[in-house]
Amino acid sequence: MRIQPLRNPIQLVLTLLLNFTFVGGVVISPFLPVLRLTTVINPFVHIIKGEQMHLCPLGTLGRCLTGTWSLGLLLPLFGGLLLVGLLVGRALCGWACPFGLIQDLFDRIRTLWFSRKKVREDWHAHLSGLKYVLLAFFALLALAMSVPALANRYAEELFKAHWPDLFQAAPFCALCFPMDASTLATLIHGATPGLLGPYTVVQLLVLVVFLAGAAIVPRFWCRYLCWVGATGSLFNRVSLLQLRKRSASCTKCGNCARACPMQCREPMDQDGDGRVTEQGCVFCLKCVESCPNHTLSLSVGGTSIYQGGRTWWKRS
Amino acid sequence: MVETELARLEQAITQITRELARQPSAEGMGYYYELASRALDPGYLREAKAHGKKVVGTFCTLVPEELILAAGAVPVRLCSGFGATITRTEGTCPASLCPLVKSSYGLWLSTPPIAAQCDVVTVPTTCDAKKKLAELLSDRVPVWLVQVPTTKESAETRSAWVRQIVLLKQQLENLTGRRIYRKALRTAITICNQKRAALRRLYELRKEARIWGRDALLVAGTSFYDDPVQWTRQTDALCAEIAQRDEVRQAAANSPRLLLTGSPVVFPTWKLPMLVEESGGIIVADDICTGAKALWDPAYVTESSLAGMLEAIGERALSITCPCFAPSTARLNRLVQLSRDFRVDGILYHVLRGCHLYGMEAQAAEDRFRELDLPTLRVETDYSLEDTEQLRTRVEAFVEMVSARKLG
Amino acid sequence: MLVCGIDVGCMFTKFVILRDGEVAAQHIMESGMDGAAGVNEALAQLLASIGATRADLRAVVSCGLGRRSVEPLDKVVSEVSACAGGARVVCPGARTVMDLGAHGIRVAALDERGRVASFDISDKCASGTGCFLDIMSRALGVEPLEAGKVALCARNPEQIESMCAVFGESEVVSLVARGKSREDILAGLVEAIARRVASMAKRLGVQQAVVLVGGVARNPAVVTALERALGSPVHVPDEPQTVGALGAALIAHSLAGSKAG
Repeated sequence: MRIQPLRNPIQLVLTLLLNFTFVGGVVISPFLPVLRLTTVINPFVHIIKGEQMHLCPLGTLGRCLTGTWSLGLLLPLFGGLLLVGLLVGRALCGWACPFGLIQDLFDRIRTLWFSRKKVREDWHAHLSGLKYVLLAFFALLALAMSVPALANRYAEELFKAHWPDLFQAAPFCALCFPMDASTLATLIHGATPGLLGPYTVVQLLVLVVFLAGAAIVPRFWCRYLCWVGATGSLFNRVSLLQLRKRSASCTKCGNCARACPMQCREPMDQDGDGRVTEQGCVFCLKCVESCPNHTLSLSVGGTSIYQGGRTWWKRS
Repeated sequence: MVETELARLEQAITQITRELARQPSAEGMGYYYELASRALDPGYLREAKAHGKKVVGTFCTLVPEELILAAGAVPVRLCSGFGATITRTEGTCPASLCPLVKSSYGLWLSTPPIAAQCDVVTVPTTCDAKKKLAELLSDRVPVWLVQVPTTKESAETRSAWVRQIVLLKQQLENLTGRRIYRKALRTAITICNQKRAALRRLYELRKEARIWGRDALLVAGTSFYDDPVQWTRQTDALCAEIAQRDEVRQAAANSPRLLLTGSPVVFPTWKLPMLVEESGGIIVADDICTGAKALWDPAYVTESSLAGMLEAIGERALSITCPCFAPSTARLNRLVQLSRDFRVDGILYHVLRGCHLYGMEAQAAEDRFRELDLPTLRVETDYSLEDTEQLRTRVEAFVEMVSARKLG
Repeated sequence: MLVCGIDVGCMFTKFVILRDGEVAAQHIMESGMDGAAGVNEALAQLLASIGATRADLRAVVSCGLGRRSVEPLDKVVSEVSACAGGARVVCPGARTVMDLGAHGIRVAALDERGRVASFDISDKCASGTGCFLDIMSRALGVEPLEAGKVALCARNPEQIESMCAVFGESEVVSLVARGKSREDILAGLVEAIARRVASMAKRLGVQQAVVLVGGVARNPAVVTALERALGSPVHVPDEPQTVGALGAALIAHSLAGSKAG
């Protein structure tokens, strides 16, 4: 049974559910390690409903610390992250994140013109650590900016003038440059020119990097830059959901390493039995599908629930 | 002199095909007996030559056929099992050398049509004997050495192998004057994958012992010198036929089920499968390169770009569990998996005298099988028929032993 | 119920007839060039000696090199299975069975139920076999049947490495020329055979009880040398040469039983 035909629609459905809060009803995405598609959606939402824009749990953290939201929300925030992490590790990246969906679609378009670039193993290893650095940086920034004295001292001039509301609510989001919707909203809706902030160029640059990366290296953003995914990555070795290998049937054909969009090597390289979930694994299950020997499986707490079942030769 | 030699070889073929045809597993086997009887002069090669196509000879299983087909050429495997041609190599080849290599070289010296029609021969550097065979042949026909990595685990050797595949592609393009584009490669991959799928379907029926091992091995072996589309069609028809027939299954109901592995059993030296099945056993599975090994896993394409497809067919070649790769873990794992899937009762480990690769893995394999409580018979032999009676004694004793254990 | 087991070796053909599971008659003759006719004639004579005819035989099973030359025949079995079965009966609890015949050495390891668990055969050439010992004895002017007794008298056994039946003769002649005694040379040959057999047995794993069968088992020097090489007692049945035929007869017995049943 092939799972990719199932996964892509699920990504779409969850993307819609988690982003169109007025459709979904319950707002949970600020508490999940998933990026929201605010760039595209929230400008409309903002105009229609006057809703605050935020992308990720760090935005939530920022709002709680500045008092925009109650401190009590910190509990579901960290609780949510912990729960999701311990249950499914980084699986939301592969099944629910709109940015993951965009990259997967770009990947397909890319295959029409040129082949994927494999990043050198040593570069790949070092760059993969970048997202943790970014996570630490932004987390500290969120904490720092929630202290009014610091915010007023270092950021007020720069931002207060440009995004007074946002700055009030979440000074951190004002500083967090990637895809801050206000700029794009301005560009789309032709609002007050003065609203174009100092980070416009940086934001557009990051957008370009994201799209270019997605067009050359599969899941470039997820691999090296996404600090939200990094929070999920931290749990990949200990989560209930795991990739397991039964080395007794592995013939080192290399299908799994080739199929993996995150350039994970462990499913192929490991010679023992047990977990082979690397920190970068987004549980897209392409490796499990590609294995001709039923060596890899998706397991929940030790019980395998999906083994690929590549009876490729049964179709006549 | 060459004519009488070829006549002798034809005689050897006729003898064995007649013996096989006396008790075929199914009517559909007739196609393969016919094919095997023309092993020295395959029909599809003649046809290809008549159409002006180039013929690329190969050895082993590691040269990707898909590339050859995509370039508009025709592949043919030249591994020979003729004992008679070995005498021609005295003086050139040491006595203790692998019989397959001696036989193949000797066959070449007899210039049968299958050899004479080759425009080029590709030899993968799998074992020492093959490397030196390449040198010997290069005096008589253009030879391309295909550098096979010695290890599958290292990323460097894998990428070096993919580069070798690209080089081979260029060489083929120069040979046929036809560039290999995506569409052609995609079609070639599909054709080859369909061939492999047909073999897997046949082997699935072997799990129910619906075909004699001596016949199934012939079916697999003839795929190397037949048109792939034709062979696939015939094999699917054969599968349809034996799925309905019960004779073999009933005859082999109490026979010990055996896995054949080790050095290749090459047509027409069929003495081991014949002996085993005459003694009351049945070979239900194999991991030999003239059988399942070459056709087991498909080329799995993850990227439909040209580079992606080249990588896929290159890496498929590395999925082959040949002992030319170190360490031997992949092969041992495959053997264990086969023993489980085919519910075998015992193992036949065939080593050609002089074959160090299979010889050195024999003990490790035997130890793994012992863990599964499976007895192993090690048979060390060559292409001569001198030791048939000694082999018979051993095989009979082994079959009796395994039978007694099986029937409690 | 009469059944018969025939062990057609390259030098001797052995017959064992069982009546209701007990040995009724046995016979050893030299294997001739008469094939089935010679075997049938000898069998007829043997049957006559116990007042029976060929028609009374419910099953005939053969083993040995010439097993397929017997006709009519119900089943052929390998010598390994036959000797194992026979050894188990003459020595209950047999776990390691060594069969030293004229043309080959066969060693089998049995499991606790007496089934063959693994085996090894050395029959590619005559080195170390009964044939080899006979040729060497004759070269020394000793009757093969006396060779054992002579070897036991050795005071300083020669270290002999080559056991080739063809070239060994010239080695023996040169040893004699150097003044070595017949006893020492024979003892050395016996040691060489024992080493060979012991190494085959050790590869399979030696377990009590260890049984030696086959024609060469009648040679007491070989038995002693084997015990030393293995470091364990070696049982030799009273009629070691017919154990194979006995095993074949036992298989015939169960075959006839299941036919009747």
